[in-house]
Amino acid sequence: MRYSILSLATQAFHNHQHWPQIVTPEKLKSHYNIIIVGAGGHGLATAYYLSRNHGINDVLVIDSGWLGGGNTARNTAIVRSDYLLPASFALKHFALELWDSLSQELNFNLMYSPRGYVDLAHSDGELEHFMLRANAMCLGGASASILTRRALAEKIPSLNLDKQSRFPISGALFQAEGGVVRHDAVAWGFARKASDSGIHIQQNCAVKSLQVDNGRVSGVVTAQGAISADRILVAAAGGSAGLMADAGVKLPMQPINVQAFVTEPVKPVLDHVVNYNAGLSYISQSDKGELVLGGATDGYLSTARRGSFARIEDTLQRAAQMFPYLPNLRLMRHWSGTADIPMDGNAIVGKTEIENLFIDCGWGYAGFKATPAVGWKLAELLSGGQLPEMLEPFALSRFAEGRLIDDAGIGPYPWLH
Amino acid sequence: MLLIPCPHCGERDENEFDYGGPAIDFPELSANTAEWHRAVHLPDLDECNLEEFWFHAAGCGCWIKTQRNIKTHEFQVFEQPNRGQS
Amino acid sequence: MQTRRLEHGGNIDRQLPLYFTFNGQRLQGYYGDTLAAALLANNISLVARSIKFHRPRGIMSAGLEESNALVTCLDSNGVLVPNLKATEVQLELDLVARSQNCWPRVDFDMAAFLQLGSALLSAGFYYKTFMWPKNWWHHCYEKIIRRAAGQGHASTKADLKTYDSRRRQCELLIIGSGPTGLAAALAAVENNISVIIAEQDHQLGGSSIWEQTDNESTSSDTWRKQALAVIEENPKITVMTNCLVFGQYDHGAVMAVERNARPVDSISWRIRAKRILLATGATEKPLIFSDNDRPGIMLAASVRQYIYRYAVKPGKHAMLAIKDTTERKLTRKALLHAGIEIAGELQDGEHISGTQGRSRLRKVNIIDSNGNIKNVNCDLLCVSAGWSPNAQLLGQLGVKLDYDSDHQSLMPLQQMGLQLCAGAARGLGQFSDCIQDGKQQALNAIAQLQSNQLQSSQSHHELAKISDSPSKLTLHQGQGPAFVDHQNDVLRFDLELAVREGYEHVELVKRYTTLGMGTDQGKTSWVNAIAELERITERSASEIGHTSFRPPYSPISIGALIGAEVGQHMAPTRQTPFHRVFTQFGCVFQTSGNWSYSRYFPLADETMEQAIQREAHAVRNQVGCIDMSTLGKVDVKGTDALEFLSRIYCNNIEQIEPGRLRYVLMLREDGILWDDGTVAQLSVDHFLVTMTTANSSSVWRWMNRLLQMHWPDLDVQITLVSDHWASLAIAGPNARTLLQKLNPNFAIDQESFPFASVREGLLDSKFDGEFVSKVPCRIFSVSFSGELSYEINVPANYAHWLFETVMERGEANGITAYGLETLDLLRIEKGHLSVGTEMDGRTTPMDLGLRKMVSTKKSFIGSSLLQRPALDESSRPQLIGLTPSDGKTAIPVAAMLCNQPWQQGVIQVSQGILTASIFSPGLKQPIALALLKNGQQRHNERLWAVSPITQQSTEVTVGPSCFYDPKGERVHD
Repeated sequence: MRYSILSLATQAFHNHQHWPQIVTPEKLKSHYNIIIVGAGGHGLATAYYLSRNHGINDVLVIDSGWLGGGNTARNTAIVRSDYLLPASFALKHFALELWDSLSQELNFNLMYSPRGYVDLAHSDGELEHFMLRANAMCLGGASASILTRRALAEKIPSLNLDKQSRFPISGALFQAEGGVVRHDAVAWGFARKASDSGIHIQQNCAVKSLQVDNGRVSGVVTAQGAISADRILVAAAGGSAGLMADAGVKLPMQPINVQAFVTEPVKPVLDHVVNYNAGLSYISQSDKGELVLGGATDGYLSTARRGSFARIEDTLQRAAQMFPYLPNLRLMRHWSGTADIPMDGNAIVGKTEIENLFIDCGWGYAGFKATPAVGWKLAELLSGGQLPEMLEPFALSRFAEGRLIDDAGIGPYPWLH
Repeated sequence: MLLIPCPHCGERDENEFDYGGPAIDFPELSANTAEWHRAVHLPDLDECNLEEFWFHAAGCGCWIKTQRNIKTHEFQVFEQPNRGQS
Repeated sequence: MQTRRLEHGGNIDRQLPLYFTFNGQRLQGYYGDTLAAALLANNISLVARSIKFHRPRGIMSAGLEESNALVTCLDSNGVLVPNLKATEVQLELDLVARSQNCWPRVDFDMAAFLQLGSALLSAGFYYKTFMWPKNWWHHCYEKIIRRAAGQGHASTKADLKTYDSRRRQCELLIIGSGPTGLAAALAAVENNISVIIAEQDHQLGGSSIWEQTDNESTSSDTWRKQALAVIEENPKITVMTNCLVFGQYDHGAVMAVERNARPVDSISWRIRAKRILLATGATEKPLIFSDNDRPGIMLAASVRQYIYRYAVKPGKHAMLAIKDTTERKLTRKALLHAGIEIAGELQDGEHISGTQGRSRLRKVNIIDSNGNIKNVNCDLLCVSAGWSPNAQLLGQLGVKLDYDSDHQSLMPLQQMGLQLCAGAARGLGQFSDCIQDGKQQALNAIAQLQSNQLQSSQSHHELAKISDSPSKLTLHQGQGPAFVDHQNDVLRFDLELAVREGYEHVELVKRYTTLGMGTDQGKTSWVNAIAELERITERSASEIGHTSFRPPYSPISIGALIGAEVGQHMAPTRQTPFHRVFTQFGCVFQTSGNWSYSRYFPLADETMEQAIQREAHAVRNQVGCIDMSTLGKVDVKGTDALEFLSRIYCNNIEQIEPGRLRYVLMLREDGILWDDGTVAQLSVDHFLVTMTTANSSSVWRWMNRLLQMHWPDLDVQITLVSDHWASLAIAGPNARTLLQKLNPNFAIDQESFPFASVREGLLDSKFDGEFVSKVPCRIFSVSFSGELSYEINVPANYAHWLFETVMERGEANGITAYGLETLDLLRIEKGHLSVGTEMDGRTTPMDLGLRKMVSTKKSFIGSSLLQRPALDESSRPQLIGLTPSDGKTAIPVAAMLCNQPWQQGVIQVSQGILTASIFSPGLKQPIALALLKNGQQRHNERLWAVSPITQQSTEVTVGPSCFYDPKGERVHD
């Protein structure tokens, strides 16, 4: 059933009794053309684009938990494409182009709000770096500009521009199309459309192992039995490592805990997404009114999905530097998740040494913004096509070859990314 | 807020330490690229009993090795480090 | 007039009346009241409007579980503090409070019309609409929704309150000071254990302050007073009131916030305990029925609390709808005590079909066991569906709680790791049972502490049932909306809808309906919701599970969490030993990262540009001096010192000799260039090594790690001496002349002290003709600027002397102090590397034209992985220099290198990025450095340096990266 104000009103008249399920429960088949392990944003987007762009519906998306329940559900939901390295920029920029009309296409309100992304610089040297990024973005077709202190004062009057503060602000990089998207809706929207086209989506069914013979993958073993497939994509973020290791593919990535939190909801007080101290603290306001904050990772390996309080203190201290009214508000809710971070801080996408086995993981805490683009390109790859140019740099083999994509220049230390 | 068992200083709060990652055994410097690639990029990760390095910056100033379950954050038995020079 | 205040009783001080203002109306309460109690005492029942439907709401509880009565107060600085629960605000003199999210008034809210559209506003309605026209979401719909959403208004005025953060530790932390907690504390007293008892209320006692026990002979208040007397006297027990424990962390760490901690506003506490006893009590569950949200519908135990603790009469004609018979009895007794008429009691088999009343409950509609309709006129409905243990703190460590079908609640384990549960927090109900259990669990904990073992018993004890008549959940059905989560206006209908649409998993239910996501965090809604989901999905509660528990237990002030480390105190700013003397010289500083750097030294009214030009000119033509103290310095000794250094730097340094130094590169273990610096050999087996400022700490850590963990057999001792030495570099053609004027006790002519050497000795310190003392020094002939240069290191306390002496004795030579701005210009002219620009964590020595510095004769850290094939491809970005093709047009800063000039709308692939662009004072023309694909093979090629953000494009010519004195002759003068 199509969503619209009309259908909403009609259904309201019938007491909402006839809304269909967003995902049609189906009986698992014994064979699929393509199995996607992981019903997160990327997996579901891939399924959708397989159907939409390539007419392939014989697909199963399977997840050990609930729909979109991994990092897609634990998001600060920011979208932007302000990256210097062309490989990082390309996918995220393509994603922004897709975000723009995705709600209409999926007939699901993803609440894409291009309210503007502001990345603050704290010295002239840093600002020069930001100019590099802005120029790279413009060359690549994005819109970006540098805001002076005065422009910042006009744009965000409540921002503290005191020159005497510990990390004074010297300017900012600004991307107008950057903003936020409702993360849960992305998983649900893709799932619904994929399901509508006949794709099977199975929740609460763990994949225990991959079936590999002679260097080729032939299926998966699940909690409900074995299912064979022609091609398999593992898009399970942190869950990918274990599955792939069993199949003999060791992934150069490590799990690090990330936290985010919100304040109590208040009337509109912040209209932009603001990033401070190179990501050590960032803030936006959700449509419900909560201020959403995040910062650096916890800085050591963990799969506990709960973090150290020290990180929250640190993030809040910096955020209060930006917005001195923040201490008046109260921290209300907090969540945590496992970021799978590879050795150069960038995702691992594409083929593996095992024939017909594909991987999409290692997005760490930066995967959400690229969701539709990754889905689009992976669908291209899975449909039997060539490896899309945008995915080439993310090859698993790049570590052995020395073709790293290290945005921050940090090195093989996932806990520092 | 982990309490990290430093063999010299006792259990200390994590903010006294810098993290050194999983405890990697470096190959010989002359070892080939494949071996170094494995050591640096593909260290073994036993999530229930991960050996890790920490630098006790705000304490004894020594590097220590610990064993930790990275899901529950429980530390196992201490390992006496090689007391290097510093 | 406090028309609803009882004449006697209550834990309030009638000698201290407090005037306060609510919605502009001046009212009176007493010291000891909460705002909610005072409002009820003044017969004010309509306090708020709900967020979505703007339904009239009142006060439903007496604690942190309050879902409806949200107000905004003004703090001591007149700043708005929104979203406070009236039940958590302690009444103070001249408190100003008002309703939020209603206009113009709480009793007449224009947005109330939204109730008419309530059918449209079902859960998740916003996902189904607002999509057309495209872009209207952001420009139109979102704006409206944002204004409607959000509870109170936040002020954007800076918060001026002060806070602090502190730590404590103890052996046993008891959270909660009700009967269970106090009994536990008493047990601990007898056993000489250090105890902290944390209570979020301003008084100790919990329910024992007001609850009347069933047993007439043990007044809970008497028991409490006796217990407090013992506790307050005991030096090993620390009492923390007004202290909310909000988060449980690893290894016995707990975070708490103490409010009203005069003279600061609040304090955040980090408490480390060896055992933690949760005596956190339980929260009463409301009933779910149609129109169950009207003002006057209150939790039964809260009604009792208002009556006994605050001496307030919450209504005149009351009805009871209480599951448990003991609870019913206690409530009846309390109502009678307060002179409230009991208009009716809901019997077994009856259910509520609805209620009536606009700004206050008027009537309750009941369907009896025969299906007949009954109406009860009342203005107070006391509801209770039982109790739900407050075990969130236990759940925060990731433990899933089991749903206990007898209690119809989530039940914690008796012990999990370091945490134990006792009393109502694990399902007990009777006063005497709680006291017994508190004592017992405390003794358990103490036994474990004394034997130093962990009892990981995870079993339930045989629990006395809270309810003696556990009846099946009665389904109250009716026409009106039945609220499950009052604050977020989530209806039973919404849960049914969510399941119908396939959002069946409990986490999806939460996200789709926003159940439990309000400021009360679902304290009165989640457990009921699970029971509802059981009914709707026909799955068991254990299958349904629950969502994750996470800190904070209740919303906590961000100010408190930040503590006192605000502003400049956030992170220390380091200063070099020259800082003070530079300040006297008029230096302009810049803080970058951890350090306060000298940026430039303006004379008179100079602008920065003018100062830099003057400084640069002086360095290239006379002599300048600059502070180099921030560089990292490590002293390396030992028979294996050279071996060690040889392993960590990629250069061939085996041939180094005492008195010489080498410029060296350090690679990461994956072969990428990390840091640069110098290795100077002071004597046999003794070296001094420098690192860049930015990487100083991390290289020091790395050196320690290699020696301690990887190569412990090497005989090497390293000492961090960065702070020991003040370092002033004098650079320029007159540098040697000036150095001679410092009277070093060693020869400094070109032959005796060539470039790339180090000398140790003494400087003659005659100053103003007076003999001070000989000054020890280490002098390195090394140059970042490209001029003849000496880095003079003296012990840090001589910094002041060194600078003043150099400036005084160098005057005739044209000595000019210069800062980092100028140094940057000079190093760019020389194509020297800088961290963050050319050394960006991605480049290799080959990329930067330093292939010759990479030894092919030895292995070193990074040598193996440096051989990965892609790291030496010519398509990699390589360092080159740029000059404008016409010799004069400025090259835009931060530009990209392209084949064509910039044109809006034309996408180009960049071939390289600039790492620096300046107007060279020495060459008198623009120059730039860049990393260009295959740059080393492309000298003399023409490209465009393009900066879209400034709309600039300059044609440039590729050339070598060293513009000034490419043969490096000047350092040998």
